[in-house]
Amino acid sequence: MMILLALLCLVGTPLFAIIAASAMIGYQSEGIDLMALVIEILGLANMPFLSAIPLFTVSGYLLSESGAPKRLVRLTNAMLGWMPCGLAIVSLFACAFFTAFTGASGVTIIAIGAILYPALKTDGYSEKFSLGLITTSGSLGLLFAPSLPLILYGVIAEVSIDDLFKAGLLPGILMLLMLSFYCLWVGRHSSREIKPFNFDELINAFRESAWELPLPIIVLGGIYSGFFAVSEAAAITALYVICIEVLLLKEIKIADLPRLMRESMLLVGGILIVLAVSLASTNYMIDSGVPQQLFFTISSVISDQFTFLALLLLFLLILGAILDIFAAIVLVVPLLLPVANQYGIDEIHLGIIFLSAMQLGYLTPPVGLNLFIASYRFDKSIAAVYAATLPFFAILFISVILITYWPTLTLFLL
Amino acid sequence: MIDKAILRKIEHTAIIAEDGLIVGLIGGVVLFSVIQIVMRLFFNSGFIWADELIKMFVLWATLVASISASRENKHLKIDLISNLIAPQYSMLLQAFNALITSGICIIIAWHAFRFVGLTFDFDEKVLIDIPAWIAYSIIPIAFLLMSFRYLIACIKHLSRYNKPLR
Repeated sequence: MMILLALLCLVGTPLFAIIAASAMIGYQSEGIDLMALVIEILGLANMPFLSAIPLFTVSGYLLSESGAPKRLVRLTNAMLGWMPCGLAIVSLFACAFFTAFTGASGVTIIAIGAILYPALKTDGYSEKFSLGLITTSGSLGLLFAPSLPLILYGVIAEVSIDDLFKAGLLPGILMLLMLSFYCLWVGRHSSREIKPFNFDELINAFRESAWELPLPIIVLGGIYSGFFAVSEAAAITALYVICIEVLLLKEIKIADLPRLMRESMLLVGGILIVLAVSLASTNYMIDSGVPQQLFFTISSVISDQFTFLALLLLFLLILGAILDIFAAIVLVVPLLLPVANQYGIDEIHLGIIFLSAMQLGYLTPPVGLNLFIASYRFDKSIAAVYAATLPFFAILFISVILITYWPTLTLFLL
Repeated sequence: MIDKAILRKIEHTAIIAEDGLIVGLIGGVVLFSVIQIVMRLFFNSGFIWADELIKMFVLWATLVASISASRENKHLKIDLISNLIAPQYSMLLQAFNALITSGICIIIAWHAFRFVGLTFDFDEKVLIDIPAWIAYSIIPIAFLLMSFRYLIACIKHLSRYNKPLR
């Protein structure tokens, strides 16, 4: 029966239906009334901080439809553009910042990449390099607060979201720095003129972004200081973004608001319905001792943490290549967590390993989201985009290995 | 034969209702969250029902968005095969997927309906004094509508499958 469900998975039946079916088959075999599935779905309404996910997603969609991406690029350019290979580094930082605030749904490539890709080519970067850089950057801010995958992991693993936000900081910076050095290395022979730092431009860019600048301060300051819970920060963000982009700057028409809200909720609804039904299937699996069996099987082959982590990375890479990051968190984390615990891996560290490895999944065929979005947006074949991202992928892969085997990097700020 | 114009009108009204409900629910989540923050910060208090209401709104928004996502087949899925096979067979495969999904949804809808019936019989309450069956009724409704949407999708795919052969 389970093989049949796996087959349905591969032919493209919606995940929520397959998971619901697996839970119902499990209940049926144990003689439990199938109404239990409905009670588990209602459990969605008892998860703490869950409202943060729709609210941050709506804010992100609104921001990406407004003039904010343009202003962010200008501001980052004014701050970092004076460096050698300035524009490449600007791309990395602007994309990372924007992804953190808009979740990891690929909007970064469309909103920021579409501005930077032509600019990079005009600035003399090769087409292949520019394409690879933008495609990779589309999911770069995943480890920075308040990114959706971080929040979702916190909700599912029942660990402190504040701690996750702190834990993601240094690994995220490591990824940014390693990619920045690669850009510098690639551009080391270029005769590209280094633009001098322009203080007036910085002031003007700051002034232009004046309305959006309080946003990171409210959100990050509020959360890190413990002043706001994540869900409260999300509500403030949503209200603030609606006020400035719709009412004040008028870059989004009120008439467009329902359409944008609906579009963003399609993504959220898709994630949360999978979460709702998988509450039932994972509870069933945990009750019937699947994690213990899993640990028993693995521990008969692997006894040390080092090998387990290697196996885990391999597994996550494959998982990331076939499964969307949100579905992967919902489905795999509840089963993985108890097993990883037995090998002495910290829950927060596991979260950061999980997300950083899944980030690579955005760049791997067959279902890497960034590959598809970049291919669609910049009108290049998937193969061309994939080839362009390979060196960046290699660097990110090294950073993921570092993050995995160097727990201090993650846990230092806690 | 049912008049197509009427069907289209029903579809159109349903779409407006879905979109309106999503906007209202998300707006409600923002509104009540902000009210709670203001109450906490400035008056050191809050409404006991507000947190539960927000969570209920998120549940409703999720389910209404799911109905909406089934309209365009936007639900999360692993799609390895449909790109690899001829479009004609891909249509057939998608019809099959839609049929399976429709079947599973109708089973969930039925058990959800039974569950709502139980909470009605036991006179359960949520949000202090609201009958629970009202709050929970979205579950059978959502899965029933999703089942219906996927059934329609199945029929559409099948009709497209036949066309190139003619």
